[in-house]
Amino acid sequence: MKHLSDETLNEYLDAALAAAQQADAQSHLAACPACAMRLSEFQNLFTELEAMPDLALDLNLAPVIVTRLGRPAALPGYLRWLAFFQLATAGLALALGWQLIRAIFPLEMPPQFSALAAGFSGLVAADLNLLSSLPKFSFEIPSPGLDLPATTLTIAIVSVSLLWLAGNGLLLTPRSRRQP
Amino acid sequence: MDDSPDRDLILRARRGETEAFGELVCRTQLAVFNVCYRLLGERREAEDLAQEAFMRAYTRLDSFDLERPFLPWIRRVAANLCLNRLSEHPPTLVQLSEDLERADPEEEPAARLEQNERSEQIRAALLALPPRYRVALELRHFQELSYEEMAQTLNLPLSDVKSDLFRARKMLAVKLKNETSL
Repeated sequence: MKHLSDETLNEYLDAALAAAQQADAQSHLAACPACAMRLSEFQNLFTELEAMPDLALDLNLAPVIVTRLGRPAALPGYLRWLAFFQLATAGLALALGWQLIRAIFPLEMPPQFSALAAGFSGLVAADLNLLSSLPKFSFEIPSPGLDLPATTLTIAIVSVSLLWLAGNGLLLTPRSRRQP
Repeated sequence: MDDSPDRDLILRARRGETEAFGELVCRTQLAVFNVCYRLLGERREAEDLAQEAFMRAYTRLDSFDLERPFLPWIRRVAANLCLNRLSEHPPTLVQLSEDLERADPEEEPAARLEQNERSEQIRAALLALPPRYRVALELRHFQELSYEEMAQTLNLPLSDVKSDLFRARKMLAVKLKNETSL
């Protein structure tokens, strides 16, 4: 009689044999005390292994985890670089757009309250005049005083907007979705 | 102590309620720690890895299937983390003594003492196995994975998984036999 191999006995105990092989092994085990003994040794080993008690934990991990989750997650390295790049681009955009800003707001000094009030009443008066002259209204794009071609300016504005969206979109991602 | 089912706690944790996740940690931390300990054999490292497993699980809660129980999933996360750790830093020698039995022998009834001694022999024999075999035993006997699931988890061919598992059991049996005969 050919004895069952250790592999077969293992697979028999794991119920991993095909149905026919499982049945063959079962009938062999019923007739072969040597294989039945080896099977019993494996069985005892499995039982002892699985009955091994859990080792006690010295500390409660829950408060540690909750505290860690409460902290802002560290930003990934690439995001830190993106923030730096955002800052640099904002600085560049400010430098490039300075002439435009000066063209729109030609004030040399910060406005006083009286100047603001006068400006506001002037604006109201101008608006009223504008309303009265609606039929004759015509709009002229103010010249920003820049030498940049319109396409370059558009590309710059779109790029800055995309960068802003990408950077802030990632920054505002919920912590639970960020990698720790 | 919150009596809510795991599913409710997970839903609340997904909405950002960290306390709900803390309750899940309370319920499963012992099992997760023991997965790590059985694989790493070092208490502090096992505690660290258990923490990392929970942190990782929190970031992946959205992908968790609510129809499945939480415990097997978190144990699998812990096992995967330990696998990565073992492959990055293979242990040279497992330190056992201080971690194993902490009970005072004088206070233990004889039968319980004997049972504890046997458990510690098994734990020591398990930790003395090569990491690869330890992992096979962990996944099969403690996490109750099928051969196919083990192969998927370990990213190994089915034949390698079977071979590792059979060798691990054999080696463990030999170690325990030697221990008993001493």
